[in-house]
Amino acid sequence: MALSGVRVRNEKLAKLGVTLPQFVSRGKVIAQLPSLSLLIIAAATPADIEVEYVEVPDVRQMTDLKRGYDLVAITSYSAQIFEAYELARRYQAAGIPVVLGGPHVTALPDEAKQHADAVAIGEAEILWPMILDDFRKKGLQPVYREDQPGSFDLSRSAMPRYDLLDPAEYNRITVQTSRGCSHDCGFCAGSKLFGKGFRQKPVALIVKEIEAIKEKWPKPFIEFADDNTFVDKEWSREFLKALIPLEVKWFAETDISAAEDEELLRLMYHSGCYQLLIGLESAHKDSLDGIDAHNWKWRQSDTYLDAIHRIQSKGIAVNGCFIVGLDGDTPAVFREIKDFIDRSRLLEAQVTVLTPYPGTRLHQKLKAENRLLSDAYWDRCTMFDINYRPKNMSVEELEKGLFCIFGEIYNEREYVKRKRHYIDIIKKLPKRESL
Amino acid sequence: MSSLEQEIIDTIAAETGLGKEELGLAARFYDVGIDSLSALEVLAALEEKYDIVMEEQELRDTGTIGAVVNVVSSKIRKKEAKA
Repeated sequence: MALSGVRVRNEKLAKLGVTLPQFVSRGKVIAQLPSLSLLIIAAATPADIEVEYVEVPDVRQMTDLKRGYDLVAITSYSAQIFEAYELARRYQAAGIPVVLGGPHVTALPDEAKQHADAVAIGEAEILWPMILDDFRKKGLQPVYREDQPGSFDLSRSAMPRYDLLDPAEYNRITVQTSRGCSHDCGFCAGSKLFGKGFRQKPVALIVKEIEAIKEKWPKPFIEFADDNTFVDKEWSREFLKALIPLEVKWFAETDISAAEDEELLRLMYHSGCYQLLIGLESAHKDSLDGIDAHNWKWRQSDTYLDAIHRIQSKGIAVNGCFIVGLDGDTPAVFREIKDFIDRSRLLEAQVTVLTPYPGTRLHQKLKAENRLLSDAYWDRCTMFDINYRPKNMSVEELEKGLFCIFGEIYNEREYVKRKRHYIDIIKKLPKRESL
Repeated sequence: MSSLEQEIIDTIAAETGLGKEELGLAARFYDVGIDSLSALEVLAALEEKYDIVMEEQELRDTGTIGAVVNVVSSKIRKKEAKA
């Protein structure tokens, strides 16, 4: 079972959000993505065991508990973890044992194991078969831990169980091509789960997954569920060439280095790439200092404007992501981000609040500096709620700035301006080879 | 439906790979499986094909297939009237 949907605790922000068209549209997309981790768990389940894929949008609204299970596995992000604990409590009360996993559980297993019969700390492919084996022998252990985070060889990946999904329920399907990211940003919760290395799936396996998806969704929109898809440019070119004949549309998250490779951009366009989501993190260079382990983003920041132009001029929209409340940020950062969006003509932008997820270096730092506003604020790890004292502005200034910039960038008038610019670019481009 | 409007529908169908029968005038792009980014490519193709440019205000009025057909056909007729 997966807790699905986007959460925002701040009522004012939630109310503002539902009135902003761009904010709502990306929220809808995220809410409609299937939980790939559950499909992977199902794939790691022996064929003689029946599995059911269940999404729970809101535990509080769930009046009837779905029953008939021998074992329930629940995965959740931090923002929904208390809901996951409540769901686990209800199943345990009904006499059905519960296994908890996912990034939050991997970061805080001691907390999670108080709410489950077993917790999985690490990757499902390694841990789930062990859990099932012990369960069958009536010897379920309280803790299952991957010896070395990120040790699973992706060339051994089984086909995720896309067959469990109802085609009518999903308009975007997630596919994983890699795990991990070379940048090791202090705020990133992914590196705790996937380790610090970067692993890629063989291209042939990804092609098979997409072919399986196309059997159920003839014209799928694929969302590559990676932290940074195009780190390895040689692999990327091989992958994109293999994608062209599959005739899919796709979206991926990557870093700004994609702009350096004209051939890569050309292949992206012709293989059906409609958008890249890129973590620019800040329009204020000083705020990028120390954000990743190698200060890579700080060194790249002078190239941002030119790089965005190069990517979008090839017919690939950029969704630029900014984090506000970084230690280098003052209240002036909101104006800087708005100016940057105007100058760069990003088609889409995503502004979120710095969020100290448990298990991250950021969380350790803010805790050591006594800057966290509470201890177990996990349900507020929404990327829109503020959970710490910013260094160079007050909590109120950060919240006010967030409201202002949301109103400025997500309104219809501004979006239409950016659309107009983007249409002017793409109407001069050749037809995509994948169409 | 006029022949011009039918031609615009045909163009949208060709751009999206959808059948003409799927493109009901009242349907929003999203309802027929055309996401916002693909919708921009459709608008770009229509502008290029008919050598028109939609104003920002007109782009706001392109929520449904029928609205796009109206905006585009109106622009084409205005252009033809000037010629």
